[in-house]
Amino acid sequence: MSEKAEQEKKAEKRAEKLKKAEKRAEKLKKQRESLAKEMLLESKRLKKIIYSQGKK
Amino acid sequence: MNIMPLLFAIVLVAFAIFGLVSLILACCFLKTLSQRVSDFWTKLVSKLIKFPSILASIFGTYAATHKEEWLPTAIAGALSAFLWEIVESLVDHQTKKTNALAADALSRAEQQSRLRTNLLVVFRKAVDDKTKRIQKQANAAKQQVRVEHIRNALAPNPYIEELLNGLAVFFREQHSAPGGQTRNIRVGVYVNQDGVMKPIQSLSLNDSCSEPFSSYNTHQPAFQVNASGNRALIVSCILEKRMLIVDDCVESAKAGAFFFFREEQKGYLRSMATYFLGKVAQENGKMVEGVLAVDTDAPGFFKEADRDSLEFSFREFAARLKLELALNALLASKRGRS
Repeated sequence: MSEKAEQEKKAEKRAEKLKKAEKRAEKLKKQRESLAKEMLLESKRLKKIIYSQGKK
Repeated sequence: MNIMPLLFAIVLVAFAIFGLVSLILACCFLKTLSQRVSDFWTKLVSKLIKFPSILASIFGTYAATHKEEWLPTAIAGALSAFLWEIVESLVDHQTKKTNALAADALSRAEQQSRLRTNLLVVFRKAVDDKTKRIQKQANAAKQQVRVEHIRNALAPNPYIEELLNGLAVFFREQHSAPGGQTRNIRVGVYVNQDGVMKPIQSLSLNDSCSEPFSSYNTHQPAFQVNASGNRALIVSCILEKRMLIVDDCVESAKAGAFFFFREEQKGYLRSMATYFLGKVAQENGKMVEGVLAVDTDAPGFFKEADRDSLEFSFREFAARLKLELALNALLASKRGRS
């Protein structure tokens, strides 16, 4: 295999790796947003539990 | 002789003695006063007792004859009213104090329950993700379950990353930055590899693509367990085997208790906590000591006053992290043994 072809293959691999990392980062970002939303929702539920129980 | 002043005097002296006894008892049980005595009933009794005192003063003032006979009665009334005013004020003060303490305790209880709920959310999400992956592999292996199916389902690398991601979100959600600005949180797991504290997993909330904790590459001598002089906080943590908290890195650096590797670190490294993980499994199965490090760009984010609460959260994450690292050691395909 020529040196050029080898370099091209390496560059391809690097690009693929970068793409994977970007995809992963995107997934983690989505996970963060979903987690933050869920935490907010659960906090609201918690307040409801604390205060509605007190009213009974 | 008019019997009315005498009768009034006897009643008012009795009230005054009752007031004095109540005052002595209130002083003896000052700390638990608001639990023992109702604020409402004290006020009611006090007002009822003050009424005959006022009556005695009126009678004394407007009596047509034997005015001087009302003088001792009026004095007894004044004494009774004075003592009951003190009892009332004391109970009122103690009730207000107890209410303020209760409000403070409620606020702390709310904060702690929110913290624990957020922890449960993070761990529930982690279990959900794992369940999805296992189900996916179970569907793929309808006929025959192979080792690679199990490995694909349980391989912990994505879980560790997601767990650290969850940890970062968990901390960020505890503190809201002014003006809706997003605080950055960086999380890293370090292990003792041949006497050097090496980061094996790390992430930064605001910068997903770059590799945080680059100081390890540029200042490796400071990460050696036997480093003399300026050493990384991670190393101090592994040597002291306990959680270390730096409230404000810049202030600590001024006091000589912390140091920055580079000047630009002062911009993004403002508060830091390192948690001693104890023994964790490396990919090759070797057990080594590890540290979980979290830092942020918000000064005062981690506080010594929050140590117990922080320890609780770190302990929960550490237990799951250690499990995933142990699974990693079991399932890592690159392991040197068969």
